[in-house]
Amino acid sequence: MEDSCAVDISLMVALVVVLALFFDFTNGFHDTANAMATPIATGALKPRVAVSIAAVLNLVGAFLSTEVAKTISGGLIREGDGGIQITTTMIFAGLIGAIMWNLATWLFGLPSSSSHALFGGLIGAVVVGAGFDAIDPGVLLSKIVFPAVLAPFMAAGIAFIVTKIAYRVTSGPNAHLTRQRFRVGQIFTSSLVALAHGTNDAQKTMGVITLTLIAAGFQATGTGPEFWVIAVCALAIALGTYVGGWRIIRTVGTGITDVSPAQGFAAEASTTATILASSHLGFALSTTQVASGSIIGAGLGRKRGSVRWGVARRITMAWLITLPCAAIMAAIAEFVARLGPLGILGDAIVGATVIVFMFVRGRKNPVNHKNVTGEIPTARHSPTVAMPKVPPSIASAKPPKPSATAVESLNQDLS
Amino acid sequence: MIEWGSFLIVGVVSLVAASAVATIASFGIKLYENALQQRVTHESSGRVAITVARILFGLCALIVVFGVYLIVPAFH
Repeated sequence: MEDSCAVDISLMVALVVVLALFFDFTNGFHDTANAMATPIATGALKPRVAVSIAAVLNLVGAFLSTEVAKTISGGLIREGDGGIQITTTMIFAGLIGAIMWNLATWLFGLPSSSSHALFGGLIGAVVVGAGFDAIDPGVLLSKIVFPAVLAPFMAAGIAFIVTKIAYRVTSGPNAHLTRQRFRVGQIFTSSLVALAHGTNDAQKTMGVITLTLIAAGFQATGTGPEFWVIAVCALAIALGTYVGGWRIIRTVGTGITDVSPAQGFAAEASTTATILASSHLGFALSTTQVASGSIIGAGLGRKRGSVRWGVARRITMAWLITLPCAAIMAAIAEFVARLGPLGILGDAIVGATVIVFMFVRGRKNPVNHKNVTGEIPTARHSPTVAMPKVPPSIASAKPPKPSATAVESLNQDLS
Repeated sequence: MIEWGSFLIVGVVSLVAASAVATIASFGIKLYENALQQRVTHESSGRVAITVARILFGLCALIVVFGVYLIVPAFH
């Protein structure tokens, strides 16, 4: 604790708990899209209903398991005996980096992985606080970098095949009406994704808070999260999910491709299967990357379907830079925090200012439950009609009438 | 460094599971919709088709229940 000894330890713990819960909140609202973007886009669920279901399932899910909470960094940081001692200040700085990055990607409507942001933040802070030796590069590559590259390809491939199957089986005279019925299936698949999310993601914050309490000597080493920690984390992630990162929902639901109910079902079924298989067969994959990959695959799987590669490229870019960017911001925060109490105060003030700025900036072109699906009328009713390809990187491009509103506002978001 | 074995297993299991669900659900809704159409045009009552469709939907429900089972650690 030598670098934070000047600050009252309980004050520091309180600060970290508040930050951790705020991170949990951003985690929830960042990831609503994973489960609910496609059912909202196809009209299977009304936006408000969708986020409510996701919120409840996240809340329930958070109480179901505390397995992951026991090890937050999963061996990424050499902690414990023979390794380094993670200080409260490092966790504080790491959380600042993670929150900043989550909010920045939210502002741009990009579905980046909250876990990567958290790991990145912790890595950045630990490297400044304890040097590069504290990080295990092998684990970093095998648990974060490679899965991040592989997950979207695998999910896209599976969703591509599943979409083909769904279209092949339902082809025939009543194909159009038949495929609308996939909406009911979407409700179930997306609910499973939301539940799985709750059991996984809330635990990371529980882990962070527990680690802090242990580091500060408020809790015995080797014990699991206290009940109040589980409860507040569950509430924070559920609240975040309910508030709904509408910008991200719009990008994932209508930005990548124009999802028909059959595609939405295929994408969600692939996401659910991949997430469940990966968490039970020992190859952890990021839910966010699997979900986005599935939608790209579903977009490609439909005859004459189109994927807006500009949007896909931006999303991929966000994935690649999430960990380093969160790490850099956390490293700066840790560097400042090491100056002493004034440094920590400075971090807190700058952090709070940036957070407020991003929310205010977000209000300039708000995305909410009313405009989240934009106006893409043809996509809902005629699954075989290819939507016009619009390069989203060119903000000034004039897309054809039907999808003008949605794409233009998306451009504003992304540019 | 990367465990290609488990990656491959995850990929294959996911593909098989997702394809199975999609196939069952697709056949179910196709049978169901066709039966409804035939009922409208008085071609047939479509009772058999609807029963088969319901069985397929039941199978899907079982798969969803299995998914919940996998997600909730207290069950296993």
